[in-house]
Amino acid sequence: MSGETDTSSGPRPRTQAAIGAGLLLLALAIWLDAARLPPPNVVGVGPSAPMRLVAVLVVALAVAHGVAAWQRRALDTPATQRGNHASLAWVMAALLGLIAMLQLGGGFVIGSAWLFVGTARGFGEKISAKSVGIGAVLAALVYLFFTRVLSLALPAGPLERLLMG
Amino acid sequence: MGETFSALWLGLTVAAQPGNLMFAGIGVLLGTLVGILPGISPSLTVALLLPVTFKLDPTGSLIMFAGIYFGGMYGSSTTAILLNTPGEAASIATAIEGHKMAKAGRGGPALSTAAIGSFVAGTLATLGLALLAPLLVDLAVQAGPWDYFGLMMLALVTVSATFGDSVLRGLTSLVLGLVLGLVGIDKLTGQARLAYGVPALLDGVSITTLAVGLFAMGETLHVASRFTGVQEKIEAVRGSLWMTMDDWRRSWKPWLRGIGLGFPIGALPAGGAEVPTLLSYAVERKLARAPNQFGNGAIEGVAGPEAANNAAATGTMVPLLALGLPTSATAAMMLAGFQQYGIVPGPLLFINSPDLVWGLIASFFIGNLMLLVLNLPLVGLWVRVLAIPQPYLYAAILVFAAMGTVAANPSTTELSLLVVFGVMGYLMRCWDYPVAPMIVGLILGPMAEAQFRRALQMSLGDGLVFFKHPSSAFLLGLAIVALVAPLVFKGLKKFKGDDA
Repeated sequence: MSGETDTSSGPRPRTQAAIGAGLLLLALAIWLDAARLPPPNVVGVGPSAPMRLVAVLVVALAVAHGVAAWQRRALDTPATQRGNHASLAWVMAALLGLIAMLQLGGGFVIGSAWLFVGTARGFGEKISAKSVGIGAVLAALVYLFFTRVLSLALPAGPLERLLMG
Repeated sequence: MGETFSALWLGLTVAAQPGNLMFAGIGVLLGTLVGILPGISPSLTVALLLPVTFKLDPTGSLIMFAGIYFGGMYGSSTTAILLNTPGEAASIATAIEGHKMAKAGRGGPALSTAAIGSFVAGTLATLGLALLAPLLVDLAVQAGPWDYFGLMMLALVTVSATFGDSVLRGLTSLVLGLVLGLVGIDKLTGQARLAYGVPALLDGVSITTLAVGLFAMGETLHVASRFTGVQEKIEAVRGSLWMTMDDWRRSWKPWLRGIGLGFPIGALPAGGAEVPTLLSYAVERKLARAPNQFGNGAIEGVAGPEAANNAAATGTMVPLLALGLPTSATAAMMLAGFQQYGIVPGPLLFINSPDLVWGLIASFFIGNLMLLVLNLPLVGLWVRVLAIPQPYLYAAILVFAAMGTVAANPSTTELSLLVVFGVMGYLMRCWDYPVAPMIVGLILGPMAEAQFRRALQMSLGDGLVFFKHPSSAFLLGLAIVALVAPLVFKGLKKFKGDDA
């Protein structure tokens, strides 16, 4: 089962070292934010003490990442994983498109339909009347269910105002 | 003891009200429907369906929640058997044996032993929960903040050291969760931490957003990055659904052993159903009359782990309900469900709202029974759900994820946060970091911090307070042992030279 191929999993040493560096930056950000807080005037400890504690933990993990990367440096191999970047790009574009459309007031139904079509494209489904149709109907049904049945507010755009009359 | 049973009776009368029965039924069906989708684990099922319960009354919504949870677990094992894609680590054993059985035309008995085993395990474990929780509540009312802090530290360490196979990566995931837990307004002093002037961050990071981002978005992006265009093959359920006499004879002992492993390990603050299911699989392989059947579709290898999985899941409800301590990603999601109504699980809840607590516990019985009655006859329907083409499946998952987040908090900032967590979940999957400790860290971190500061206030700033009380000193000692032990074992293994 799992656990027996321990050393082959996980990030490559170079990536691991980079994660360690990222953790150091994170610890620095936490520490600076903690220093900004006024000293506590209550008994016990104020809100900055747990931040410092967590920052110390993050530093310890950063060091551990660095040490582990150094110990495994001989194992460093050129990247062999060739992922499907096109699919990934389509899904990311679908997500960012939704955010942009909501920000511009396009409404939930149009945004979600785009999310649906874009994600399906990432998984090999051509953009066609069929996928646009399924996406739009699904988004509209979800919108009606949430606003009518659950009375939760979803961002409305021109299409939603038309739909709700 | 008598008190417990009268309380349980009270709970049954609450849970058996028509409205609550309906909520349990809807929960079970929705949970199965979503849980059966490949790649969706029970905790993600709970996270995705959390918004649906926003407007219900607390009792009804929590009962529905329990139904969703058990339904999600059932759905996951169906997917594991018919599609060989375990939604979570706890279903790996089921996927190995169950899928082989399905290939050999014995999918029906595999599904049956999983369903009946889960029912038996769920029922017995719920009984265990009902008996154990009040005892723990009696203990808990005497516990001071230092004890809670010690217990939480123990839970945090065991959750991150037992998930995944690297202590370093588990702890990193956990500490990142703790960092996210710091974000927002400090409840004691009202000062903003790590919010950097973003108004949406002042309320802190929402557990639902993190869970949906890490699980749903992360998984979708990960699958997309490895997409090859080949749809996985579904094994049709051929032959009889029913188990033969021989299947029954081979199943009942593994069920009971699975419960014996699952419930205690689940109830300990060690959390996770992963360890007991794998243990159960190993035990059944050792004890089997024909060990060479293992790996080729041995029914014991489905019966034991499935029972262990369900018993462990119910076991994690013991610390959650009695102490307010979530020890798995799903328990963390359940706690988030409690929190949306301002309900704090723990000893006080047993005293203040017994109808809610016992109604919930009793609904576990009802949910398990409904699963048994509904799901085996409906297996044909569930198989059709599995046949949804992959592009539409993942597209729909993302739409539901986005919708739930926006409905909970209608702002593009929240949605951007969701996408950021999604990318984080993707990277963590690529580099083999477990995501569950992060979710537990986010919810347990602020709780541990509150107890930490309360303890220091009560001791007038004496940092040694945690070691002056024998109980908390013991718990913290255990936490340190749990942290160091895996490292020591690893060192020993290396010493023996078999760390290949």
